[in-house]
Amino acid sequence: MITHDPVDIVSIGGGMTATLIAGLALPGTPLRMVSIEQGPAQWTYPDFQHNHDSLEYNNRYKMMQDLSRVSWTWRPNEGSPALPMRQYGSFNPGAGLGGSMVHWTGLTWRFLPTDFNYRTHHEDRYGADRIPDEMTVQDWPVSYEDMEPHYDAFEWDIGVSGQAGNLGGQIIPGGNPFEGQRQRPYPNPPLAPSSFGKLFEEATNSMGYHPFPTPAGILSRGWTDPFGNTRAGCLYCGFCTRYGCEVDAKSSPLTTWLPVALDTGRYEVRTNSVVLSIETDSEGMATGLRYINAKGEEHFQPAELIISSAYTLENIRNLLLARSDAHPDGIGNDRGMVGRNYTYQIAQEPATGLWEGRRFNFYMGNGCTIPQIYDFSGDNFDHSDLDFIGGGRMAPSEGQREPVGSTQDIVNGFTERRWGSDWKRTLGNHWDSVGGIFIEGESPAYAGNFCDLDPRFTDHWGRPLLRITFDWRDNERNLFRYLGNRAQEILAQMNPDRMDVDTELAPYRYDDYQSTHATGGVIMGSDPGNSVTNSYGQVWDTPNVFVTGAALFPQNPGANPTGTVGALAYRTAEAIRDRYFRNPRQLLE
Amino acid sequence: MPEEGSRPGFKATRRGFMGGALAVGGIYLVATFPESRDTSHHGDTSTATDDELRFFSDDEAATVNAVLARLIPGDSGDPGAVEAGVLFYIDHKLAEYEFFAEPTYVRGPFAHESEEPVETDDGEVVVVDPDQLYRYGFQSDMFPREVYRDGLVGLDQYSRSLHGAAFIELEAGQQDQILALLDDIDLSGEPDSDEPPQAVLDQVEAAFGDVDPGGFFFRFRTDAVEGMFSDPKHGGNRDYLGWTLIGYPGARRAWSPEEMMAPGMPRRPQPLDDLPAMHPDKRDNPAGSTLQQARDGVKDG
Repeated sequence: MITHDPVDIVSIGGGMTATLIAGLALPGTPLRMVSIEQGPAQWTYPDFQHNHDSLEYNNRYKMMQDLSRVSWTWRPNEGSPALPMRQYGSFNPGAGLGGSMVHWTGLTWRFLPTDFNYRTHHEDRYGADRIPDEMTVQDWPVSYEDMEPHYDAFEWDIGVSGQAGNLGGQIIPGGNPFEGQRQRPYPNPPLAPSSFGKLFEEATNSMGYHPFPTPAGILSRGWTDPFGNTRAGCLYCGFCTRYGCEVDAKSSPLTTWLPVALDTGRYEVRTNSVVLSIETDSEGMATGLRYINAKGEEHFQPAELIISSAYTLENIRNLLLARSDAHPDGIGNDRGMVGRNYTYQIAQEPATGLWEGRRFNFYMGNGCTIPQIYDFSGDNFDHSDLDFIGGGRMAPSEGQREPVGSTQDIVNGFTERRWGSDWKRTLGNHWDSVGGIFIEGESPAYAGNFCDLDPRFTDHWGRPLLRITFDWRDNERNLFRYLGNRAQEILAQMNPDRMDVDTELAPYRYDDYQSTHATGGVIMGSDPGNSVTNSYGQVWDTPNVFVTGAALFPQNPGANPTGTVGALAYRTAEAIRDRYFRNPRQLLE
Repeated sequence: MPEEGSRPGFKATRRGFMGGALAVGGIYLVATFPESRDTSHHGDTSTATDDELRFFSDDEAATVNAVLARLIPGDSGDPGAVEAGVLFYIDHKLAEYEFFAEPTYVRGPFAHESEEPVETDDGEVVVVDPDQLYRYGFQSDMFPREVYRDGLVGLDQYSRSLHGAAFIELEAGQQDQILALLDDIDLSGEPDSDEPPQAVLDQVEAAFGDVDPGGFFFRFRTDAVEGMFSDPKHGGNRDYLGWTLIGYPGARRAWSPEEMMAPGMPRRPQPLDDLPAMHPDKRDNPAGSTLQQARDGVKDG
């Protein structure tokens, strides 16, 4: 085994939160940091210059983690067998320099103020008995007010394009009136709208709802960020999610933090290298990372501080695999909290319409060139007489409709079979005339939904895979039915010639892609009895290990996680930079 | 070994636990599967002409085209999968990829469908309720080359058992009935799906042997749609017939906000290779110099 010179910080992964922490914590300090990245190096130029091949990127998952080496098993409940994800389904975590934020869609939300004091809010407004016994939702250890400056910094550094809705308490027409107060507007105006989005905007406006443009981590115009990175505006090319942006309009670690971090000369990313374990000493403190490099050699990188900054599921597994005499069940798991509060997200279109003879140009634009409504998000509507808590954002079908992926099932609701003359005729006439109403619904935590190590299936290196136990409950089915009925009303207002509606939430299935928003499992909380980490992602029982990312979420609101992952990481980066190294291995206050 | 009366899986193939030849001392030879990225190992990448078969025999190709003619029917006036050369997309994909074209986890044990508990040596198979198996997605232990090669044999055997003739010799209506049955088998177990009668299932299973008939149909149908609508450089979508059918103009570098709002208009499709180079000479292009490119500090570990 080759042992390297010690550094101050070493991270598992060279993705969003690792490079973000390097970009914030290294300039102006003497700190040295190394990231161990499982995938290859990739750069805007030349790697993304000719990447519009849907077959390679969409159907064959060119930018995603290599499932042949590491997968995850799933079962619907404890009584059922678990099987591995053999081919990509439910989520698409990325691999390579910059991680999943290189191939993301760009929606950049702030969670609602009531998302943070979730349990307290619901008990105060509806009574303690409104939260089902099995539901283990809890308050975050930070409030919206704590988060606001970090949301602000994140949004301005990546150059979010959008329309403010609540500026210091003043509601701004055209923005999201339900958002928490923000201290200043977005740095860039909204992206250009789509024709189908306009139809949705008109319909929802006429119904008294409040449509607003999607806040996008995609530049609507040329822009120089606070670090001095100069970037071009979006070309609406239609190859965005699952692709790297060839003009740097889509914000990513490559466009934003990597240049800053690398310019210090004290940051290093070792690509094509897979971390095998977080090593610990006899006291249980972490000593560094053991990894296999591109040539298959085993290395050890010692460090004062270890950051597990991989995808949610790998962060959970990294802790569970770090078993030793000091941590017999893994780091952070001294009280059995690792793996608890695993959550996901509903991401489905319950109502789809077909407009005879209309062509909406769905193949242009991207996932952010559409309006949204937040009228049915969180607790923005009265739940007193409803049979569920929570909600979700609603939006019209997005842009970037790629033929090779979309044609598989886009007219399924309008034909008897998914092949044959009628299918072909319907697809030919209406491929660009079919659109629906999308719901991203929240996923509360339950005692019966959790992750642990699989007893049977192993990865390429013989380590157990992570096992997910997860299914929907009545609360989500009732939520989906209610929001689905609202979606149907909106769709009807948009006046399609035909409609296909199904508001019954089907059992969770592992092969259906809904979103890559797997969250929880290493949750943050107010004390070691209810969480794995404190509000900085610092592990209670091993304070020189930090965890970043959506694994920290106690439960999952109905919005994309990246804005909050970013804001939390900004908060952690500042704490590491300004305070941690003054008293290493002490829990941050 | 499974107990009598338990039904081998349709979606999960039964190779993993039925094939005595595969079993050595109770451990199945899943280790013969490659264990890393080389599940997408490239086989024949020779530059044969586009309409040269590299995987299928002529007889197999004729049957593939007969199926394609029913999946995406066409004629010269309204072209379909045969006219678009989808046969060559599938053929070239199978020739190019010895295992899978997409990243695939291939370690065992594999799923076995049974309503009854099945006695096995520990860890050999994972027993799954037939009503639940669809929720786990792809769980087969068979590679696509085998699925096609053996599935086409199964298709002919089933055609003969029903009509006394190979699939290619049947009337279109008869062919559609068979494909509809395979489609139903693929969907069986899902909510709102109809399970074909047991006697019919038994007959299909006898004809298809080790191949999962529903999985065969799903693979075929998925590949047909991929071949119809992917870039012509992959072998199908000849003359952009797929893209013309749905009105897709091919990849462009940019669309303007005005174009996004304009009523859709027909355009002549263009292939990927006709996209203008993004930064033809970056050194002389001031815009290009702002793009993020390789820097010191990032290299293979």
